[in-house]
Amino acid sequence: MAYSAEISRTNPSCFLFLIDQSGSMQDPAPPAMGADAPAAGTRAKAQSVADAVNRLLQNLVIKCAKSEGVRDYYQVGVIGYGAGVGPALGGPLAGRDLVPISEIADSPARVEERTRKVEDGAGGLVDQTVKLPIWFDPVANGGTPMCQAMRQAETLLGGWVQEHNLSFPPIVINITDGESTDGDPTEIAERIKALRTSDGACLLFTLHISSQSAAPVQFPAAEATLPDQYARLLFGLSSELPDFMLSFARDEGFAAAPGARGFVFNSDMVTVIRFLDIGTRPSNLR
Amino acid sequence: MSAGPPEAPADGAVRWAAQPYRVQKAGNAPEEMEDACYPSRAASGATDSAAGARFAVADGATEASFSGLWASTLVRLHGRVGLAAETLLEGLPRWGRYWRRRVGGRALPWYAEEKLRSGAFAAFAGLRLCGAPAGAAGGSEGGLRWEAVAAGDSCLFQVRDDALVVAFPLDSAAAFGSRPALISTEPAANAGLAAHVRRADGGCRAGDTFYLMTDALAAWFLGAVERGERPWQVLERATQSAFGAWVDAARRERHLRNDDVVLLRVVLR
Repeated sequence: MAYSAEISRTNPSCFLFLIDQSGSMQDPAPPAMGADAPAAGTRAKAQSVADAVNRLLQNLVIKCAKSEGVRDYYQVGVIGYGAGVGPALGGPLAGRDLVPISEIADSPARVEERTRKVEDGAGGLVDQTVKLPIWFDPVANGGTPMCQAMRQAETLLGGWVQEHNLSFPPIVINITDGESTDGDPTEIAERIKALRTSDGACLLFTLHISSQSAAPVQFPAAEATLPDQYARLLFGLSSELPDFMLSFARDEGFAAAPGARGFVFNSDMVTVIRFLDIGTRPSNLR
Repeated sequence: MSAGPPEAPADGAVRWAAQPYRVQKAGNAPEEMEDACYPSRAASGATDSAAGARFAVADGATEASFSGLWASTLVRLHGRVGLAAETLLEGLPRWGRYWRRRVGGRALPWYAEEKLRSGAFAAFAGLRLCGAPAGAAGGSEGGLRWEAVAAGDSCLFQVRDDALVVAFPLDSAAAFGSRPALISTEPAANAGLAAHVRRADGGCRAGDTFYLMTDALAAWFLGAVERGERPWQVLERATQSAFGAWVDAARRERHLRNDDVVLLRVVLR
């Protein structure tokens, strides 16, 4: 059965984020996207995306953290595309493409602190200081060379699947505002989705943050509900959710129909985080 | 060790012999095992001893860190003070603090701090044998009783005359699919636990065998029972190495989920 390989230190899996850093990403996120932010509606899309990616990396590290340290269940890469195309992690990991999760854990660019309220177990709330590691800062500059980014992904993952033939296949998450400026990425996306390990084909998911204030769409099974050609094109690139992820999505309260794709349009940050969590939740972590 | 024919101990009490088995997940190191049992080594005694006879298994949740320490804390507490449903719930805040003292108190990287904040979780099943038998050899049930407490999907099975007589707290293989209730080190996470703590009791006698086990093995055990098999026959005479080889093979054939396995076999004679 596909997508059932155990994710282990011997057979790790791989997440690759493709992040749109084009100039249009400095436009405000649509109100829904920034709904939980202090300045809803005025926050740049690039900042919302950076927050989501940092939060996701933090969650992945914590998932892999055990008593003795961080277990290398994953390799993670972040490719930015805008004025340039290439690895986009900052700090000590600058210039690295696929990085074991233990190195991600130990090498954030910086660690910020925030205070949050937590339940004290006796009906009250107490302040708790939490650390927020930052690996990735917002950038918004230049065009949207999505084809070039996808070609880099194809090269990286082509090598990876050969070296990890028994592993759970790589998951690529493309986060963009949708308007590729270097051509139609469909053909390259199809080649990425044709890369495979013995456990199944690479999965390509899309988080589309439009500048339109259109209604959010999550895990659609057909393109009819999508508002524009860019959303329909990105829907077309996105993989269907494997069965276990379909179950996760439903468990999380999404009305994901059979054939639902890993595609989210204009959703609020809470949904974005949940989408990323569903898209990166291990089915079978060892 | 075998269930053998019941024999009368000199003092009239029923004697017990406990044999633990453990096999870590394939791909993990033995020290990464997060399941625990009490006693942790082969032991024997009589049911009328002052301490009574207590046995437990616990399964530390993989998603948390230091869950193995929490699992072993719970089984050792049961061995030392005997956890009934009430004492378990009352004592948890104190034992959670004990766990936190053991794992805290030193500088930790950001992710370890964050992970510790959410605490550790474990499933637990504890057994106590109490009272003395009314009769001697021959195993009249008399006053010899067992009491059990459990939270989550660690299980206990009582086998008599080559038949399963009690399955607790789960009694079907299908029941292992959902997320089990777990005992946490954190009071806030234990808020709804009372509703999930199960208790049971019954009679026992020389010749009976109790099997306490964590979820992967318990799911296999109940699945086999549902197919009309007698899974205890695999477990009743195993040596540690034979058990390890059997677990490896069962995992390869996908009869057994790859997870830590702890089995505690308690034979009454």
